Amino acid sequence: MEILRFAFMQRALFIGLIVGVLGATLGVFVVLKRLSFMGAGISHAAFGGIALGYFLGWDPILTAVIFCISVGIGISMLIENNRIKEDTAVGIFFTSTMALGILLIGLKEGYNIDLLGYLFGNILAVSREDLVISLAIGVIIAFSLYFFFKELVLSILDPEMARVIGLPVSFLHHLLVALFALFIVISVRIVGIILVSALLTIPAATALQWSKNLRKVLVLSSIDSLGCVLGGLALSYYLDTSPGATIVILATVVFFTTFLLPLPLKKK
Amino acid sequence: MEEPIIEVKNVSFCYPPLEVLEDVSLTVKKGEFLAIIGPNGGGKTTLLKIILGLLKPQKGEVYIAGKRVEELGKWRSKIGYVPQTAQIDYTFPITVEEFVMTGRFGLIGLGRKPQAHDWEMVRKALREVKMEEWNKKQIGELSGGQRQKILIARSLALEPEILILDEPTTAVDPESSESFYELLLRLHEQGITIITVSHDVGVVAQYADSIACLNRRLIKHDRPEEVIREGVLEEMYGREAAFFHHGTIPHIVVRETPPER
Repeated sequence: MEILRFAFMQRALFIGLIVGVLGATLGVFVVLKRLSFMGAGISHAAFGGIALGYFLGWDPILTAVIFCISVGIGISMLIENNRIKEDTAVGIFFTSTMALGILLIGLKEGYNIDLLGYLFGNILAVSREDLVISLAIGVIIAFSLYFFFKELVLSILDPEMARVIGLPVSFLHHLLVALFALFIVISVRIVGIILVSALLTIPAATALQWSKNLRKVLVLSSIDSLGCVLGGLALSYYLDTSPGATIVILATVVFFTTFLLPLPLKKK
Repeated sequence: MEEPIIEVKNVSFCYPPLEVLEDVSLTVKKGEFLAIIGPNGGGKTTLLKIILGLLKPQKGEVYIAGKRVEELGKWRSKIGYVPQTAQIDYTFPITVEEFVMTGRFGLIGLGRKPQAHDWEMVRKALREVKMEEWNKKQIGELSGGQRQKILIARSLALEPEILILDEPTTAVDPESSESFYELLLRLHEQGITIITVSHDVGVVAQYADSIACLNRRLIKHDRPEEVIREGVLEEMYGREAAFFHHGTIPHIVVRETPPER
């Protein structure tokens, strides 16, 4: 395996492992809660956050996380009491935060080329610190999903009943958005913010076609996602293509193959 | 059956500009079986949601077991609720028994997993509604009546002290409906407080301790047999509407559907 000779590739594969499993697990909740579009919006908002970080001289990634969580809360506030429809609210934030990013980059003297790395991923840039940060954030996401598992399930399945028995439904919603924002941090180097939401949507959507059992869906989604992330990284190395794009295309191929399979094959 | 467990005090609620509830007060004693009847749009579901703390009234307060409903805390997990139209995603990958288990999530608490005792309660609840053989099915595979039954099972699984039901037998066939009311009666005998909203005045009059008529304002009758006298009931089934006279305010109960018998 000559691919493993490179330190950057070892690091990318290690992060890919975390990204694959956590994206798939978090993604099942995102898809079931119908947050796919919201997720796409929030991950694009990360561009505005990164630009803001650069502009103010703060850590771009950290700024992006806080920015994304704020956008998630902003969307929730707009759609409260059904004053604005959710897709409209996402559409507004999606574009305006990217516009803000473009504006801020223009204002900052000397265009920084590294922004492309944030947009489309750059596995050459994976550093040792990135490994540590990814691992730490990975543990936070995994622990949150484990700890709040049944509460998240009920708040998605039947939010009204969740409120009747006293679950903090809006907290759980914001928690999911916050985990989403944190996930962007660990996957940005591999796929870039433009394609992050694919990791949270496609493997989960594929797995939901295979099973009607939540635990099986979580396992299948993880296997699919892990296969696509690691397989996509390896493929991109040999084909000399963009890793992020290769991963997403691979996941999409698996999705459509599943989708086109005759029903009896998929039952249970 | 002495101490009040639910107290609704001077509650008014409006979806502007529509006034749904006007100065509603209601006391339900521990162990009481109360039926709420009234026309569609009369505010029955709204009142239940206010009692559950899902809606906040513009005026008035609700107390449950002596605490304001907003500050119920852990007590919430003792309230079973069967909504009229549950906003449930039936494509959700969850089995019947797992679904019924969600009723116990408040009892189980954060970060904990269901134990053997929890599963025993789920099985018992499914037996009560005769759905135990469907336990491994995905909830989307059930018919409308069966979905209603698992909603009821979920409310029973948490071993409720208060059971709040919003037209629980709407989608259920007449036979199941009858055995459901028998079940309610058994639970009532065990001392559980029950509030049910119903269109079926004739049926609830047989089972309930008291009947409240709600059409924006509420009037409670603690002795239903006196209010719904023999003649009155026949009259209700034969006509489009029936009048109740009590106190100084006559009120009207309009039937939406033709009688099924």
